[in-house]
Amino acid sequence: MRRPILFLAVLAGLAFLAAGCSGEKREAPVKGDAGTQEAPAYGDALVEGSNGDVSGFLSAVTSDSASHGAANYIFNGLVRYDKNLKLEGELAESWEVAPDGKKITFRLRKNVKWHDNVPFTSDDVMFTYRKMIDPKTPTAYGEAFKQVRRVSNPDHYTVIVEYDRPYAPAMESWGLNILPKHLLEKYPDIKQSPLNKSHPIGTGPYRFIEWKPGAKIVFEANPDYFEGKPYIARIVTRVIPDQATMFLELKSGGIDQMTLTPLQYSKQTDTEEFRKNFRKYRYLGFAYTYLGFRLDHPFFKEKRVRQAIAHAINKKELIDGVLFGLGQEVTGPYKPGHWVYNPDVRKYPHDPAKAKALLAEAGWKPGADGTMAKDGRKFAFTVYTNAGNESRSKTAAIIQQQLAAVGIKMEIRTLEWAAFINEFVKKRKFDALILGWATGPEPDQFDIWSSTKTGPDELNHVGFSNAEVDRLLEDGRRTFDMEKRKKAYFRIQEILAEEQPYVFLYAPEALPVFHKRVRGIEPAPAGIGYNFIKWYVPKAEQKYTSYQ
Amino acid sequence: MLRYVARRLLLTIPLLVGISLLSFLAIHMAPGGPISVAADLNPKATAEYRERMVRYYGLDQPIHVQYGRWLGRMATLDFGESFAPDGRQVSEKIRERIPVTLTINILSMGLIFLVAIPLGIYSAVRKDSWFDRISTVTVFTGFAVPTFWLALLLMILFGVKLGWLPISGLVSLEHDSLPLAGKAWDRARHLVLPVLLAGFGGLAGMSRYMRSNMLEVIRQDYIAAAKAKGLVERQVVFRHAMRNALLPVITILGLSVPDLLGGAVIFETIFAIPGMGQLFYQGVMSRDVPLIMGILVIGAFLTLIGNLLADVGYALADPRIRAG
Repeated sequence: MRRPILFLAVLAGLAFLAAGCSGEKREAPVKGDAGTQEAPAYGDALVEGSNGDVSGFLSAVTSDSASHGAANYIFNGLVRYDKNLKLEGELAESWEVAPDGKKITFRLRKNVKWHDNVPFTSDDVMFTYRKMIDPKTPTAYGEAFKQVRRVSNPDHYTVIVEYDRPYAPAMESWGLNILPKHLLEKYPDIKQSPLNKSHPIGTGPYRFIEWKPGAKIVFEANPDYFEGKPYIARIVTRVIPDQATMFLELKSGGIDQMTLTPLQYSKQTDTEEFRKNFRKYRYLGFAYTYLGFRLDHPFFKEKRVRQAIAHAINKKELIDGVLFGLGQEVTGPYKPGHWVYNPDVRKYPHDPAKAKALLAEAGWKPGADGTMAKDGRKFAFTVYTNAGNESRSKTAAIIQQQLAAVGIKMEIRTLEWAAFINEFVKKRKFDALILGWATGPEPDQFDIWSSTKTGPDELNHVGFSNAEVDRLLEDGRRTFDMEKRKKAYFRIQEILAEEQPYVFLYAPEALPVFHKRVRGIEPAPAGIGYNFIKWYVPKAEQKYTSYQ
Repeated sequence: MLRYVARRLLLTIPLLVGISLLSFLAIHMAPGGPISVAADLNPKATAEYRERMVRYYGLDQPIHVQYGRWLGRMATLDFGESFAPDGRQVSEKIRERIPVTLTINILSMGLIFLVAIPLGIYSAVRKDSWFDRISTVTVFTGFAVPTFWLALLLMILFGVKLGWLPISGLVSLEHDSLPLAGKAWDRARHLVLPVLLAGFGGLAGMSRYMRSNMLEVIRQDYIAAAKAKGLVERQVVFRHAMRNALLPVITILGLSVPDLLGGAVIFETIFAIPGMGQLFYQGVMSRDVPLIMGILVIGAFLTLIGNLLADVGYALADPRIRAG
């Protein structure tokens, strides 16, 4: 439903929502039939179901997908990802990067107005930038803007950004929501402004109407939107925390759209009546699940052991068991179809014999009870994962069986999220863990793989350290040249596949479902949300006819 | 009596401070913190950001300073600002949820009393009859059955298959455009399932309690005396026995006062009801200290007041206690 969210979001804790917001389909054609061709018409409302409530409207200070989704209706960035995941101008009409990569010049659209009719200018961009680097702004997204040396606006419709050195991920950071200077300048802390708490005003395709905390958020189409008024007159986001309740609401007509679970998609929606009223879509989301090893653990510091475990795991069985087949195997941090995805890396087909051979090479021999042992020590370890994420605990259970088949004993410990992160992940008190990352279109993975990022609050928690990868990560973020970047990330994937610091397991598919009257949804590499202002309901089929 | 009440009220202050201190310490012992939600496993969240946020929420101060500040604000009845990104006042967040929770709890409690008291009395009078047995099984079923499961079954039946009742939420989307009577009808329809379910689960406790009280009373000599002097059964049961058996219910009523504002998380989640239970649960999950403390203090205060009301009510109703 939503446009791709530009921040590298985190696949935190319970929710798997992020996958529904930023997505890409795989190369194979997307399932779900295309809408029939009736004339687009204005009017009707789309009621969407959301597990979570918004926690604020300014995406600079929020970090959950519900809030970012709402902000994306109301606000715009300078740039955005198009349907093929290429950056295109949004509030910026065009931009150019200087040949040395240190200067970006944005030319802004001239016909844009804030929802209160004040014109949008480069002053708003300057203001937003200053707020992002202001220590009084409680934002987690300031780092990309601290890399900026200088920002200037020679006129109302030009913004020039200068960097000390080229920084490729910066381009994406200008997709942040641009804030209205005239409404926010009197608030030293933008979090405390009514724009965040109750009355957001942006330049976006929808205007805010009301927020009933815990119940619903209502938006109406912005008739003055610079890309034309959206067809669907109203969007209502209903907060329904329970997935089963949401599904019943969908079936009874209470909501028009939701994200299905793999179980609902494959087993509970396969009826004639459901097909008559709804249309399901599936595409690969920007997320993957992995089994990560603590690399200084006595068992796992040996590469052959990690490779043996990779061979012992049957990824297909995981996808069938956990996702009912609604996912894809992954071999590295980038999903198939991404422009830096390298299909020719070392693969680890399910092969218990090979796994045992590799373990034997590393000195592990079967003991009396069949469990591998070396120097009198049995191969038994504990994998940690967070509670409340069913697919992770199922994954753990299946891997437990698969490893038992090659003589490795794996215990499973499921912990509450905060305890898991603070007591085990940050303190490196784990043997192995099952977690996931929600990535985005930007391929920079410095924070996850750089050997400089192994501190307690940093994300290289497995302790991966490889000089070549460090160099390549730096190369990849210091050039805007797509070919050079591709080369760096291709090589990184080869090394990761060889080293197996993680066993990269699978990428789940996003599974949105819509009422059939909604037309114009065209799945693309970016998912479905990129063209939502062009979605419509033919006049004859409109349900909420009082909204025009 | 007034002096007694005044003394009890005065005593609630140190009790409240003690409760709040323990709660405050407990929250701070839990792993994670308010920054975790945005910062854990977030590549964008740098060390500098974490430090800045710790200062932003005043968490860099020693815990006694933090508690002192909180207590100082509480003294002026200022609950402070929520740590959530919306930064709204805790009192505002609580205020918008109270009517919802209060309505459902009063209705379901009313339902429980209305059904459970006659049920208990009749079961006691007709002890071991078929009625007694069937009602026992029914109320215990209600007690034992998981709410979420029963709720889903009823939603499928009344919401999806029959289409008589809405599935979740408090009002329908077109609520605001309805006339007054339509609004009331709309709200009532949304309340049917939640209130029924909340009531069904509570029947067992109340009706069993009433039944055993009644059995106790029926055995007393004065009941035998009343029967002996030839009163009809109706009069014996309702005039003499029931009034005495109802006395302990006053205590239950008093102790139920804090429950009026306490929401049930699972229940509210299933019905997508934005009540106190969900608010508290979200507060705990995001370590929203001001919000958690605000709700706990209100809960503690109501508990203490409820106890006092129960004691006073009991004394008023029962001359034996007043004399003692």
